[in-house]
Amino acid sequence: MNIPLEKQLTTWLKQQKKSCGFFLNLTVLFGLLTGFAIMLQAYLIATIVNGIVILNLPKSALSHEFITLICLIPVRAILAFARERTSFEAGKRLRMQIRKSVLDKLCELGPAYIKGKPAGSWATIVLEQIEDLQDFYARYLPQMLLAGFIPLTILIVVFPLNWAAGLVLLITAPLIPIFMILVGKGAADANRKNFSALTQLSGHFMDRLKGLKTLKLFNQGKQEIKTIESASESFRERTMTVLRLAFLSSAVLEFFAAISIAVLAVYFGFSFLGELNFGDYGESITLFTGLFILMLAPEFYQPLRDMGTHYHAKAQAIGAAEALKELLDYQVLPQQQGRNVLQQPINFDLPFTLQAEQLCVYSHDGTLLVGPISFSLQQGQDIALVGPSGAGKSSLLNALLGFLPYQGSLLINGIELHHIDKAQWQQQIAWLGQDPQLFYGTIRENITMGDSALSDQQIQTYLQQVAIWDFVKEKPLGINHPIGEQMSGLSVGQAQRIALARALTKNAQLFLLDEPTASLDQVSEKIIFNALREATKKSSSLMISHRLDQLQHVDKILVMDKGKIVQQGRFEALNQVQGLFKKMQQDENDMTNSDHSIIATEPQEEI
Amino acid sequence: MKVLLPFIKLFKKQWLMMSIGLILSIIALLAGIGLLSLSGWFLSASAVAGLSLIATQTFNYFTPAGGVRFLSIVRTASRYGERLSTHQATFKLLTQLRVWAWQKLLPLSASNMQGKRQGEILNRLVSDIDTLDHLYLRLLTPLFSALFVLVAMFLFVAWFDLNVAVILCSSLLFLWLVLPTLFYFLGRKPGVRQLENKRHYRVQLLAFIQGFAEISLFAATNRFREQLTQAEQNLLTSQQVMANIMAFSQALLILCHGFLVVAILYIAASGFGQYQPPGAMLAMIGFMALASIEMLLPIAGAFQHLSACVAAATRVNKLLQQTPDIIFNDQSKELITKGNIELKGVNFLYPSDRLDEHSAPILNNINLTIKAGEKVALLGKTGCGKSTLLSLITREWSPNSGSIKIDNIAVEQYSQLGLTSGISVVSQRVYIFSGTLRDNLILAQPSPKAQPFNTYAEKKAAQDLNDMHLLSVLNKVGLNTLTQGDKPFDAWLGEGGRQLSGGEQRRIGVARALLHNAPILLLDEPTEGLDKRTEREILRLLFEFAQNKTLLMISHRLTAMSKMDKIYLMEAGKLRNSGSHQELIKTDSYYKSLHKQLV
Repeated sequence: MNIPLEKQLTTWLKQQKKSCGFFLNLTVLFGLLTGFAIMLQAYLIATIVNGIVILNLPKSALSHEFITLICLIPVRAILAFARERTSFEAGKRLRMQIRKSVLDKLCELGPAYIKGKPAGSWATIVLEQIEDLQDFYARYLPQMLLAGFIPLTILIVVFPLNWAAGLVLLITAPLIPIFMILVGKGAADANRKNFSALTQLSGHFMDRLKGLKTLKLFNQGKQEIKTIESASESFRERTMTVLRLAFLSSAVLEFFAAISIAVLAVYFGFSFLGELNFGDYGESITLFTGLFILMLAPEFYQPLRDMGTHYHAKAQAIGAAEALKELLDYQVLPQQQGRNVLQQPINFDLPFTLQAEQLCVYSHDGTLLVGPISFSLQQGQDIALVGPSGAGKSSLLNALLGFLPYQGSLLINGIELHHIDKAQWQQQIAWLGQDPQLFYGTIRENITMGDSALSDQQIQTYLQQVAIWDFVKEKPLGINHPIGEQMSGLSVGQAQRIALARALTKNAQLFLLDEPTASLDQVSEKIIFNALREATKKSSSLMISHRLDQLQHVDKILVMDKGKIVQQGRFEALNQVQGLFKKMQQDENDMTNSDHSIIATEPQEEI
Repeated sequence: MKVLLPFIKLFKKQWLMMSIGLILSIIALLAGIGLLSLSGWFLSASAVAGLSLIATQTFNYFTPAGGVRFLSIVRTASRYGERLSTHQATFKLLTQLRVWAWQKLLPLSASNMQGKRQGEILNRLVSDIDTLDHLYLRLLTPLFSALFVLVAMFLFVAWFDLNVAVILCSSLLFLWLVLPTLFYFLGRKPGVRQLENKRHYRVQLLAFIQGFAEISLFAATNRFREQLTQAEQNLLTSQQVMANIMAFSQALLILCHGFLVVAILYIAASGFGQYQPPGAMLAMIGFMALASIEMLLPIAGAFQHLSACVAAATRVNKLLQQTPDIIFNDQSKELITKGNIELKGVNFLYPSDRLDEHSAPILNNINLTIKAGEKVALLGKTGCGKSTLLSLITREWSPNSGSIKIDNIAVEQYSQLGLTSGISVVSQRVYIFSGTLRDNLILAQPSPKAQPFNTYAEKKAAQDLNDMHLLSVLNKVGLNTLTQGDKPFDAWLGEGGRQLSGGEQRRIGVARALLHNAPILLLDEPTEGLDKRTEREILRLLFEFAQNKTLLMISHRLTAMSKMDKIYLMEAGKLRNSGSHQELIKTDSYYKSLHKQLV
């Protein structure tokens, strides 16, 4: 990932932190209080040791300190607990907020945009990628702030006590930004490389596992062990070269920390023995000062070292931010906006008409998908859309559904589709695609999705219409038969029929059908077609089909190619002229009848 | 926790690197604790000595001052070495784990991995193996080094004062034992619930995304969004429970350790062994107690890794410790030369259905004889059992009863090499490996006799020669697009490389079959989902290639049926009718109607 992009993403991530609310600040506050508590603890321990060792006090004289110490420890424990809780809460709030924005955005962009990626990868974005943000806000950001605060506080405490010790810390303090860079480039790099090497390794292993069947068929399974081993080994070697350097840089950081502790110890020791005589503002150095500062020194460097460990969280978050930012920043085209500004009332009691004039359909990024085309559809008419894949048939349907932006004119009962309330319009459409989605729940819940007031009798009628009642009746629970996750327990044909019954409940004016029988066997295909023909008698329909032989009854066939209507008319008329329609029919027949050509026409050669 | 044993045993081979890592981590811990204790003692001792002039002059400050510097350097160096060696060991373990898993997985057949969610099983396996990788780095090393340091600490302190040693080290030992165990048990149930809630949320999410068109058309968006929010809330709540347990474990550690430090200070304040009053020794023992948190910190979080590792190990064991139910006869030297196939009375039912008395067999008394060189089609609807039949011939599954013979030898008698080298399969799903174009092709070539290449040049020459052969095959299958440019065979395909279209993938599959060059060619709807032109070309290639070979193609369409010597119609696990294309048109009404529909 290049540096400017990483910067941008980091900035984006930081901008989001307002969603964490005050919990982020609370986390930092608890971190700071922990810092103070540790200082107080160091103070008390130093006082006790000083009292006993130097002042020869009995421990009863120090009971005050002991009691304070005992009281302090639960406070530290509570602070640690509270810090974990608030940091989780901060991350949780942020995740909820981002998830909401992402889902809002997806709803805004609509199904046509969502179909552009497999459902699994959307689920990964919404689930895993957003989970990956947690530690950035729960750990990394608070730690960043603490890394600035705590060393400063320690310096403020140490200087009035002993300027020489303060100086040792201060001299290493300007090194902190350098360390930061070292950590940023070194330890961080180590973490990231380590992390990505692991990911790649898993990826490679996964790849081979997925292809296991292929490897077995070619008897390559055993050879593959070597490949897995050598891939693993070469990853190891490459990663270790990077890690060696990277660990070195964090070792340097630790070395400075350890050395300055040693220097402090030696400085104090020698001062006590009178070998050194500076740093104490004229008063002699007490054991208390020495021990106190010695205990604070590791805390001075600790936040810095923690930064390195939390870098993993940052790398993960940046990876996730890339996909999230891209989605959330995705701008809907201007022609789509303002769609609902000029809403006009529409009367659906009138006979239904649809009039497309110079209609152009665009994708969300502004590519022209269809058009310009013109056609019309009257009440009760059936239109079929045919054409090779990629001709723009589905895009046209999506525009009619209101899922894709368009230009030109698309009049419904004389009113521009832009100006009709989207929800009101969608109430008038029934849609059936190739793989309709049934939802986890009962058959009844699925059928009544649009109209929850349907009676059992009505549901039965709908199910009878699509010839699935016999199947449902057999089930012990009847219409309350549960449909599993991912429609388990139903064949494609059964699912398609239930979906059709559900579509029929809408009493729609317009049926939009996108190859509803593409994945069905003939029996199911026939049932679906008959039910559809019955249902669409009164309403209009627009159907994409690849079954050219079944289009004799439709009122009009629109033949589309490369986004344009190249032919239109009734079946017989189209069949009489040379053109795409005729050619497509020939292609269809070629394979079954005259495929002798496959061998005969080609020169034969031995392989 | 016994489930972890096989994996710990597996680590034996890496004992050297692992022990080095462990020793270095012990040294780093000792040096860290030693540094703080020694510094504390040195400071106090010199402060005491500084009180009187004589003591000042006799006090040997060089040794402890040198010791402090020495320990700080040792600490840094050993920490560095520890990181290097533990990571080195971790990577090696990872290699070993993968190789081991692969070896175990290889002989397992489809029935061992039964379930529709095979992809999910594999995903699980990969991430479980990654988790088990933490076993050494995050669990064993911190636990063992802490234990060792504990013993060393005990011996050292007991030398001065047995009482203090017992109190200090038994408390630490108690924490060492109790913290991981207690939180392991506390976190187990919420951990499972968290996984379950996550899965549930994913399912809801997928349904919402896949069915979004329907949801918005039925104006049900708000209802579904509410469901999603509820599922997310459940997930977050269970995560919160886990976070609370984590927070609790940290707080408890701080609390116990803090009290321990105070107790040690209080006890040692009245005297430490022979030192009455303790003097500088108080600082030493106090600081030692204080520094001991360094070894406990990784222990507090260990419970999470522990439960993750136990869960992962349980699943991996369950999957990989099955006995393979399909075993090849590795002694056999038989090879398939002619290509006769004979199935007699073959019955088959998937194991998951075998318990259910009502389920109908997938294959019901199948008798099928294919002579060498014949071209035969199996025609039937989706789900009639045709693909299952192919997978019986390749021994992906074994029939419940009946026999399958190739060249008059039962398939069970062949070695894996013997069987696979005699059969090429082209299916509708061609897997493209993440690797070079060359890798993706040569896997189909019969492995050459192990000829050791003496020099790199020799190896290169052999590769170039083979590349020429690959090039001619690619040209033949119409993949000229892939052979353009500089070093086309080193081009990366699959994940992270060039993505191939459906047609190109299928052509790679054909190229593999050509390279494999076996006497039997099994085609599993090889052109499903392709456009007509590509379909025609691919079939032409396959038929041309199969001229002198046995060909068995399964299909649910009439594509290329006229070129078949014989067509079998399959329905509900039975062969219903058979004949040539022309015969079936005349005699079989179903076939006739299929044909008519297309004309």
